[in-house]
Amino acid sequence: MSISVQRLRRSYGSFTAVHDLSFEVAAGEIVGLIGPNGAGKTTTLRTLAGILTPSAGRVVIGGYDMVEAPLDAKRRLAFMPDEPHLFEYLTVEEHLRLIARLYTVPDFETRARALIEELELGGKEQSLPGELSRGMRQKVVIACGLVRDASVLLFDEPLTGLDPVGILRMRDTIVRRAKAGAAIVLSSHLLHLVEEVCTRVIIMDHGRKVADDTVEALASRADLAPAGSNLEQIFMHVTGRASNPPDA
Amino acid sequence: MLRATFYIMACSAKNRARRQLARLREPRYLVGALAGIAFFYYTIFGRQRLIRAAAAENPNRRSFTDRFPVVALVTTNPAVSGVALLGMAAVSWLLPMSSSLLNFSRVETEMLFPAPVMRRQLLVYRLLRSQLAVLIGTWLFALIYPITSVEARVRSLFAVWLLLLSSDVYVAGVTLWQTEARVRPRSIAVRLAKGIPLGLFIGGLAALVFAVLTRAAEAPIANAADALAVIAHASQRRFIGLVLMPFVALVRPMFAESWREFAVAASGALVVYVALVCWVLLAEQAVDSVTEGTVERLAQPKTASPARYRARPMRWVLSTTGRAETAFVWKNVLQTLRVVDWRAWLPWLAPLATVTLVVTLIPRIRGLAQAASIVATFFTAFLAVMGPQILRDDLRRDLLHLDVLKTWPVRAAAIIRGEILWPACMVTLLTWGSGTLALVLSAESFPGTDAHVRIAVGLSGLILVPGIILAQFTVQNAAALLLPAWVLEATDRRRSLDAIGQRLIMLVGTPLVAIVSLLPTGIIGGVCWVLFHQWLGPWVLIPAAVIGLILMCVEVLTATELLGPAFDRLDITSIERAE
Repeated sequence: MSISVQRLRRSYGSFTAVHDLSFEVAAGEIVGLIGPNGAGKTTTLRTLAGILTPSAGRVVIGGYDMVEAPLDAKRRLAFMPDEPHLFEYLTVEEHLRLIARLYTVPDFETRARALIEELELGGKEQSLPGELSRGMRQKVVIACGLVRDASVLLFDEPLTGLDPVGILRMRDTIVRRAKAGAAIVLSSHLLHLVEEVCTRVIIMDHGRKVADDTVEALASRADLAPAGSNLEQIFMHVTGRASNPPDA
Repeated sequence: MLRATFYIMACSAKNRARRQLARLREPRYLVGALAGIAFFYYTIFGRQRLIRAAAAENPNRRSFTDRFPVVALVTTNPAVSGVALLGMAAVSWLLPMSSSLLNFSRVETEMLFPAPVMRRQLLVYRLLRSQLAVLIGTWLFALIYPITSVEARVRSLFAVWLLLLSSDVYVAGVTLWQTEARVRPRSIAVRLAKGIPLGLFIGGLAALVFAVLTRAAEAPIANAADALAVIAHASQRRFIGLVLMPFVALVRPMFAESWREFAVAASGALVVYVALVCWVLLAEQAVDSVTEGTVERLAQPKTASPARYRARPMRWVLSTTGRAETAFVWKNVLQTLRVVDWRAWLPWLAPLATVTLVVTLIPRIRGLAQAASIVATFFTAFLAVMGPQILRDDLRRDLLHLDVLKTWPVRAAAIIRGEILWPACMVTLLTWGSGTLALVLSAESFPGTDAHVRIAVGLSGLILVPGIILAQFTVQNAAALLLPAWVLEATDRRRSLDAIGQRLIMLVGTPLVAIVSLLPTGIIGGVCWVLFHQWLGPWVLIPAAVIGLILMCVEVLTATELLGPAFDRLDITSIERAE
């Protein structure tokens, strides 16, 4: 398995953001991580990325335990956060060069050129983050994640700030990377996107996993049958947010 | 708008106080608050008691000003301080100014700009809001200003407050009138409003320099005190006195020795302050232009500070293989060179070097050489101690990027080392530059000391500089990892009691730890001195300093390795959440 999460718990003081979470993601799989605000999605992704240390449980990336062999695990993953944090004095090209150095990317020039084309960053190579729109900066963050061959990709709200063309291209990029063998976890509030590209869905609520399956399998489950057949209806039902229509 | 301003100020003060009291439950804030209270107590009462106790212990002990006549001249003669202010006022026209008074926050632009109020009223609002913050900032000056009684300290606080308020308004005025000159280049009124003060200041300074040089031609200027006395005397000439009048009026309250004298002096300073406010409010179109600039800047993607730099092409291209530390040095070099345009320094460095050369070579004005030597020595010490606290191009700046740094497959110790290397290099280079100047001029400030001793001590000090600076950067970055909330607070420049206390602890703690890290070096130096002094004389300090430097580098290396786990444990978002 490319990603293996076993009984993961993450607490902030007395508050537990993630309770006993376990799941696995195989190579080529795209798993959608969805849930209402405060469900623990971002904490889960940040723990998978090695930003947070688990309070309990294990996170294994590409066969390497994130606590015991963090450098080997991190070499295999790319994390694309929802907020595009960039170094304000480095240009787009310099960001990519820095990443290439830290991850020792051999054919950096070729990869960078291809990515810049793919993400429509052409002409912005020498721009500083302060000169870019939010969507452009989001693309730079994504480029930094994709410039190396990471076998595990973690996307936290990857489409925020992108224009419609950017959204379509991003969706294609995610699917293409999965077909190339990457294990992908994608957190998003855009349920139609998750339904469209994800091979499996994990629904979280109050820090716990409340569902983990394909959309079709979830729709056919007896307890979820009344909810409906699309992900939005299933999500509302599972998280207890489904409401009856008002009385006429 | 005035009522609204006072409403915002009152509500903000009330809520801020409530929040600050509530967070004293956390030890990190409580410690800071206790240090802050101790500081305020010390500045008002404590220092006075210490002075009195020392005087009682040794009645024949000479005061600080008795021992250093230069200090006595500066602290008793408003004209000398007035000249310094005049110099700064003239220089401010030549630099691209950006007033903090005109930096409207996001919430101010989004809530107050659409409100039916004039931009000029908004400026008054900013002026009023800044006053309390300036008053708190004033306290820092109270610590270094020589005072004889508690009453005098309170007077000095208000005097410095008035001075800082006026400076803020003046800088805002310069910014606005510079903008106004760009907006309305052909307006005669604008030319006058900008040209009259600038012409008067430069004229006044030129007249002063001429008077000093004339006096030097008549009789040599013996020393720094003599040089200041000559400046003070020249400032009494009619034209120079006229130009200096507002500046002297602003500093005069600091020299008042009774409440009556203070009241008279403060009235004069207030008149200057009000005149400055009127001058600022006259720049009508610039207020609109500058505030629109603020809106545009805030509309840009949010960055840590407004982008006033351009992506200049760099010759250093990072290779894709090598040590991780080099990558961080490269990143920080780019950050520094993008912010600091070294070419902009040349017009300042060239005259400075010329003046230094002239005062050193011309015997008749050697007194100025002594002054330059004292300044260079002070500046060297200042850079070595304060440089690592001021220059924050390291992990302190990158704390908000911690999430990104932590996802990289790089050992934490390598990240910490990489982050501190470049700023340490930069401060070392600046300290070496200033230290070399102090060493060249050291014969003036230490005339009784043997040249061999002076040079050996100076050179060994310069050899130790990188170690001392690296140690301090390590302490600062350790604080960023162990007490991140304090470092984030310092970045925000908050002026709460606990934040002031935290800053003071860091201010004192950093050099203290550096001194402790110097202990092994001191022991080595002592041993070398005892063993080899009779053969090598003072030059024994040089090899001792080299060994000391190596020892300090090993200490830094060990410290960065030990800090690795703290880096891995740190979660910045949990601090933000706690806030």
